[in-house]
This record gives sequence, structure tokens and C-alpha cells, in this order.
Amino acid sequence: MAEKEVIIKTEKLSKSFSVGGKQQHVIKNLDLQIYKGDFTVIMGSSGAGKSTLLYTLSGMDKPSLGRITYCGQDITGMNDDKLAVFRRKHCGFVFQQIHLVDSMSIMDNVISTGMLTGQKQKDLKEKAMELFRRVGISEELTRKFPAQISGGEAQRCAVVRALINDPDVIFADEPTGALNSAGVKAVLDVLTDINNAGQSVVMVTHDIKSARRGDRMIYLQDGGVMGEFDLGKYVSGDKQRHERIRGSLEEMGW
Amino acid sequence: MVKLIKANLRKDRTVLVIFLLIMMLSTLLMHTGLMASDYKNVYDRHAEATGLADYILVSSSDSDTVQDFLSQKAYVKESSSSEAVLIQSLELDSAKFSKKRNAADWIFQSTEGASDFSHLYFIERDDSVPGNKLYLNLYSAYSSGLCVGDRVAVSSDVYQQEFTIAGIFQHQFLGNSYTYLSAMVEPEVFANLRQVQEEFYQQPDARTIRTVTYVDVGEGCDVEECVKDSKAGLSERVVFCDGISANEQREYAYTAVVNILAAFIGAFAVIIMAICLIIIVFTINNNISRDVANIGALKAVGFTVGQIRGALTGEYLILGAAGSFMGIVLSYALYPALEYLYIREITGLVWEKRFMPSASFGVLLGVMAVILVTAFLSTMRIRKLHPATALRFGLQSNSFRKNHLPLSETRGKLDLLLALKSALQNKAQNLIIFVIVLAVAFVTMFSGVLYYNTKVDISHFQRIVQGDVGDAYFYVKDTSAEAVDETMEKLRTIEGVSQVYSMNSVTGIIGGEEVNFIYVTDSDPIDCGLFEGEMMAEDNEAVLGLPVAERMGVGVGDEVEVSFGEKSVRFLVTGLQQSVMNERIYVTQEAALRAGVPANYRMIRVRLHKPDNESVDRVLEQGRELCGDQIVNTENQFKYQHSDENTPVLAIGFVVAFLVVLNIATMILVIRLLLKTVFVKREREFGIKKAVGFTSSQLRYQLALSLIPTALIASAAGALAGYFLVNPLFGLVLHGYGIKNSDLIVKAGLMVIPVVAITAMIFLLCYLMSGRMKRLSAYGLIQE
Repeated sequence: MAEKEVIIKTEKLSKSFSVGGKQQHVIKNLDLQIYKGDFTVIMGSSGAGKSTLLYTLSGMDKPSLGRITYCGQDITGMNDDKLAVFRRKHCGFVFQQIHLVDSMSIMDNVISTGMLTGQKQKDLKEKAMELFRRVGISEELTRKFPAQISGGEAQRCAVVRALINDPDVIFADEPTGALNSAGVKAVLDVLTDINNAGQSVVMVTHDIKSARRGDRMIYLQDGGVMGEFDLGKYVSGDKQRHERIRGSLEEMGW
Repeated sequence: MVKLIKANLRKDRTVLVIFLLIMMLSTLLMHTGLMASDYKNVYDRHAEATGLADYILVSSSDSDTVQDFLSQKAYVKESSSSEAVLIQSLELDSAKFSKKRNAADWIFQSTEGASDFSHLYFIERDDSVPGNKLYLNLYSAYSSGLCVGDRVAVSSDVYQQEFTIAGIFQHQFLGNSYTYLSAMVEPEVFANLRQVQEEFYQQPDARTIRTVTYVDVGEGCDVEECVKDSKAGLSERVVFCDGISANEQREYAYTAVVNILAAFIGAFAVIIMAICLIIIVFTINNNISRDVANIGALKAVGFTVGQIRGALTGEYLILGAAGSFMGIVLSYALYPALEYLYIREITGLVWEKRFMPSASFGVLLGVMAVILVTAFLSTMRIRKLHPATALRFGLQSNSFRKNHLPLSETRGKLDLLLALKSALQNKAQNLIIFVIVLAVAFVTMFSGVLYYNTKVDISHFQRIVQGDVGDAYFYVKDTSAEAVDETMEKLRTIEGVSQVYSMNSVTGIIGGEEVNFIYVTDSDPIDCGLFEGEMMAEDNEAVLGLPVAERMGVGVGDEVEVSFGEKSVRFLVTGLQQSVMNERIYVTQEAALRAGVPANYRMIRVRLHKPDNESVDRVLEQGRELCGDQIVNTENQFKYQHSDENTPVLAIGFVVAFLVVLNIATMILVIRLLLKTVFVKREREFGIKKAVGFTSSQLRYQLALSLIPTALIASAAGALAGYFLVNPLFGLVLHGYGIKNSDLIVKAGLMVIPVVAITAMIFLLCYLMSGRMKRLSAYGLIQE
């Protein structure tokens, strides 16, 4: 099997927060690799540091100690603005709370993100419409504001926003956490589709149904990696996949 | 509910501090204005403490003549006369001064002979100073920066003497720039002064002052009528007599200018308070939007609407009370310095530190009442907030916003487009910003106009406050009309001179009230504030002062009758004039002669084409050479008008400068508070944008730029409003003082200043103050 290309690598990554004068160590000395083309799922119990790891990996937050390299480029020492420039070029985000800008239409949310990388407005509109079609969002819906559409629709639009700049990695933080079952399936199908097309995805979840979509799982506990295992490519209808994953998680104490 | 209020206060610390400061500034101004308007009471308190007489008479006769006259008057309860010497155009010089102070008319009295010396209120006194002792009224001392122990030289054309200041006293008749100025000297020096007076005024009945008399009237007597009667009666016996009541002195000489100042300060205070109330509305609405889920939760667990509204209102009530209290305390702390440095000079009165309960409690309770109503009304939308809806969906509007400038269809730079979108999207916020910036721009324009008229070109303001003013003054020896005419002809030949004229006044009666009957050699040069009609030309025409016209119910085209003793003369009113606190009528020299008033002129006024200090000095020098002995003294009036001795202009200039600084401080605080609120409201949006790749600099630039359209339009509107309204507003403030139409210089170019300054300041402050974005990670902004 050909060796996978590492796109993100961490060395002794640590992240602490000061709470009431005391240091709370959320991530401790974490060595981790994310591979290109993988759908990596990060799981763990509540408070394990999943979201913190995700935001630190993506440059949304700075680590307290350690190093993060991205395709060989060390992003640890980058300042705020450089990280912003880095994110717009290399990362896409899908948040649990969706976080589309309320005051902009769906289309404007996507185009404004695309304009950050210098893409022309005319080209962006065509590209955005293609992506919207791919995730099942009509053109009429793109003219609405986030508050006027359902959660599932909004989250799919957030995926489009995440894809508009052709990122190396999509980071998804519990993307289905605020959705109903129909919305969950729709969003997970989109993420699976884009991964199948070669897009690297890193997703944090506490839900096995969502975790099933991944082909690699990292299990966190107390700020460290408890275990990593290969899930294999997701195939729809694989009834035993769920049980295999549950079994693996229970072995790790989930 | 107390816990709710505490929680609200903890949450909004920055807003709390800023609001406190603005409230403090507003009440500082308000309370200071009230303190400055209290000088009528200050005058009365001093009058009672020193046993001030009801009125004063100054006359050219001796004491016996005056007392003989008064003894026959039933209304006189008590009177005392003492000898006096009037020295005109006296200049003061001291090693402390860089130049001689301008001349003034002083009345000297002997420390042994003056009946009022023992009653005077001394601010400083040291009888042990060496040399000739001079006891000086506080206006003269403070306007010259003198204190006890200073060596001074006084000089006029006929007198020179050196003195040491031995005391500074408050004089409530002869202690203000609008009347004569009192000075007390030792008996030997006084005797010398008397000799000088007799030598200089060789005729025993020459028009000068030899006696000062204080008169108290009986219970129930009308003091003003008594003054009129005394002046009229005594004028029949002596060459010169003048008199004024304590009431009239208080109204016109001692409190008029400070009341105008107080009105200005109060007007600015009201505007800043209005800004405070707008901020309350703005922040409460923002807080409700921000905390709608919490409000829903409170309602869900059982808090009533009244309790929640009470908590929100209580927060601002507490802040308002605290800010007001601080402003009032600061006012008490700062006022003594303000009073000592400026107001004491204007009023000639000493303000003694005291608590003013009616002003202090009035301001405190009034402010709290206004805040209570405003804040409570601002919380009305909570009434209709259903807990479940609030918890799930927040505040909903049924009308979704229009998508302004869709990016897919609008070409342009990303940052500019997003800034404009934001500007167009937030209508409620824009409205609040518009109103606040409008108010600030208006105040800035108003301040700018006042500053221009008190510092750059004071001609119009000077005329409003003091009436006609020349550049150079020549005091003549031979005051007859013929001699003065001859002198004026000579002065007209001097290069640079544009106008030469003279005027004098006597007291006349119109409608039973005294007026200044002013006659002039030539009506063309007279700059008396004519605002309706035209100047008089014939010997039966007159220009009437606005207070007289309003009192008599006459206007242009009507007639008025002026009485001088037994004789009455009618004049056709051709024009109306205005200047502060005046009861005047202007006529030609021929008209005065027709009325039986002999034409004599003490002083000739000269205007130059392009006056400055040096050219006026040159004209004065050449005038003295040309006219020889006829010129007994000269005065560079242009220099005085533009110097720190011009107390009313200086004081108002200082107040304006102070208000401009306060205006800038308020504007910075208001913008800071607006930005804080805007930033908090949009923090999540900034976090999202940062997450997807916008840099902090881009977001700061977009935020600052998004405020520019509203700031530009509002500041232009405010400046325009100021341009059109500054004169009507100024006229309104001064209407009670005899001004109908203010004609301050309002240059259209001045409008550019508030527009550019405010817009630039908003952009810069916004950019600088949003620097917080740099310190917060995208993750942090989304989480907050």
C-alpha cells in the first residue's frame, strides 16, 4: 500500500487554558499525523479536548507548546494575520453552530470567502452555484439569509463556504450536532461525497453514526491519544461497521 | 432584582465606565452653569453682609450741597457723603506687566474720609506695606494680576504716582469695568490728588466727580424712582450728577456677562445630556438583543416583566446617579479655580464656597428622573417577549432584511463592499449614530463659530457685547463741538485712517425710564448693531435700542418722545439697534442741539483701513504730533480689544475653548461606547470571518469604513444645522439681554472642519479601538 502523504503533523502539541487563575491542560504532548485524502474522525468523551485539538490543528487557536507543521510548513509561530491568510488558503470550516454570518445572504457568505483568495467575482458565482448544486441547495435558497432556511440546509451551505477556496483540509466540529435526523444524513452524505472525491476531512464527533463515515479514527482521552485505528472506507449499507466501531471504542473505555 | 442589576453592571463594565464619564461631564457643565448663574444671590449676600446702600450718587459738587439736597427728601432714610477725586484715563503700570494696562476712569477716596471704607469686604489686606498705600478694587487688581505688596505706578496726563498695593476689596458700586473703578488712598495722597483735580479742572463746576454719596431709602419706597428723583433734582443744582441703584448695578454691571456665560454652559450641558439619553436607548436595545436568551430564561423561571425591566432601568439609574454625583462633586472642586481665574474678573464679586442644595439636588433628581423615564421606555419591547420564543429563536423580525449590494452582482473591492453592506444593513444602529454625530457636529460648529468670533475676528461679537468700538481713541482737552471738529479734520489727514467720528451721551427719559441719549458727529461710521431700518440723518430722526422699542411698543416709522428735565422732544424712529444690556437712543449732533443738549465730546474715535497693533500705535503717534496740546491722552483700543484685558471676550473665549475640549472628550467617549456596543454585537460575526480567513486588519478596516457613510452625512447635517442655527440660537440666549438678531460671523468654510474632523476621528478611533480583535483568536471570538 502506497504510503500516505502527511498534510498535518504535530509534535508534542500542548494546549492549556487559564481558568480562575489555575492552568487547565486540555491537550498534553500530542504527536499526531493527518493524511491527505483521509476522512479522519476524532472522538473522545466530553472534555477530552476534541474541539480544542481541531481548532489548534487548523490555526484557529494557538498551541501553548509544541509544533504544528502543515505540508512541511511550521505554522506554530505565525501571527494572527498570517494564520488568517493561511486558513483562507488551506482550510475550510464547518461548525456545530453553523456560524454563517447572519447579516449576509447565503451566496454572499460564500462569495466573500472566495474573494479572500483573489478569485474573480464572476468565476466565483459559477463555482459557488456548482458547489451548491452538488450539496443539493437550489439557487433560490442562495438568495436567502441564514435565518430563513433550515439547519440542515444552512449546514450544507456552510460546507459550500468551506469548499469555495479549494482547501487542503475541511475541519468539521460536530457538524451534525444541531441538526435533526434528515439534516444529519444530508450533511454526512455531503462530507462523504467530497471525501470520496479526494477532499481531506477532519471531523470531531461524539456520535458513532457520524463516526462511521470516517476511514480513520483517533480516540482522545484526557488530552492525549488513547488509540488510533483504521476504519476502512465507508460503504453505505455496511451494517457491521457500526458494531465494529462500537466494539473498538468500548475497548478504549468509551 | 438587586442581583439582576448587579449582574448587568458586572457584564457591561466598559460601557458602564464610559457612560459614567459622559454623565459626569454633562452634570459638571449643568451644575457649573447653575453656579455661574447664582451671582445675583452672591451680590445680594455681600450687600446684606456689608450693609450696602440702596443707591449711589456721584456728583461734581461738594458733600454739603448733596447732603443739603437729600435732607429735604422724605424717602431718604440715611445717607453719607465723602469726598472723591475722579482721574480719567488712568494707566496702571507694574514690573509684573509686559506693557502698561489700558486706561480707565478711577474714583479715589481717602481711607479716613470714605464712609464706606470700614464696610468694604477685603480679600487681601496688609496695612504695613511700605510706601504710599493703595487699596484697590478687585476687578482692577485681578484683571492686572496684582496682589498685596506689588509696586505699581499710576499715571495719566495730569498725574503720576507710585504706590504699593495694601489691600484688595470688593466694591459693589464702583468695582466693575462697566462703571467707575474705586481706589482708596491715604489722606496725604488724597489731598495731593484733590489739588491736582482743582488745578486741572480750574472751573469749580467743571464736569468731574468730587463727591460720592451712599443713600438708603425708607421702607416701601421704590428705589429706582428715588434714584431718578435724586439725579434729576441734583442735576438742577450741579454741573454733573450720576447715580445708580444697587439693583441696577447687580442686573447690568455685575451679572449680565456671567449670566450669558452660564446660558452657554447650560446649553452645551443640555446637548450632552441629550446624547446621554440617546446612548441609554441605544445600549438598552442592544443589551436586550444580546441577552434575549437570558431574558427568556428569566421569564421562564418566573421573573416578571416588571422585575426584568426594573433591573435594566435600575442599572442606568444607578449609573446616572453615580455619574451625576461625580459631576456635581467635580463642579464644586473645579469651580473655585474657574471663579478665581475668570469669573471673579468678569463680575467683580467674590464667590464664597458654599453648598447649593437647590442646584445640586435639583440637578441630581432632575437627571435621575429623565434617565428613569428614558430607560424604562426603552425596555418596552421586553413586554412582548415570550420565553419559549426568546430561548429558541431570539428576537425575530417578520420582515427580513434586503440584501444590499449582493456580492455576486456588485463589482468592487471586497473590504469596501462588505463595509458598505454593513452600513446599509444596520439601520437602527445607523440612526443612533446619525443622531449622536449630528449633535456632536452641531456643537462643534457652534463652538467653532464662537471661537472664530472671540479669537480670530472679534468685531461682530464685540459690537454685540459692547456696541460701537473704534481702533484708536484720542481724548481731547477742548471738548467743544467746534474744537473737536477741527481736531477730527486733522486726524482724517493721517494715512491709513478710514473713519473719524465722536459720540457722547447724556441721560434722557423715555416713557418714564432713563435712557442713554447718544449724539454723534456723523452717523455713517457708527457701528451700533443696527438690525432694522437705517441710521438717522436728520435732526428729528433717531435710532432706538431694542429694549426701549419693546418697552414702548414702537418700531421703525413710529415716534418717541425724549425728555430732558422740563423739555421734551419727539423723534422719528428710523432704525432699531441692539447690544447687550442697553437702553439707548442715537441721534445726530443737530438733533441733540435741537433738544437743548450742548454738544461736547471728550473722546474722538478713529478707525483704520487695516488695523493692527503697530498701525494703530503709528496713527496715535501721528495724531499726537498733529494735534499738539488738544490731545491729552490716547488709547490703542484695537490692542485692548484683542488683549486679555478685554474681559468679556476673554472669558467667553475661555469658556468656548473649554467647551470645545469638553466636546472633543464627549465625542471620543461616545464613539468609544458606540464602538464597544457595535463590537460586542458583531463579535461572533468577526470570529466567523476570522475563521474563514479575514485578517484582523481587514475586519478593523471594514468596521471603521462601515461607519463612514453615516458619520459623513450626519456630521455634514450637523455642521449645516450649526451654520444656519448658530445665530438664531445665540440670539435666543441673548434675547433677554437686548439682542434680537445675532450676527456673528459664520463662514461657510467653517463647516468643513466638523465634517472632516468628526469623520476622520470616527474612522481612526474605530480602527484603533478595534485593536482588541488582534488579541483574540478566531476561536476566542466565536466562543465569546
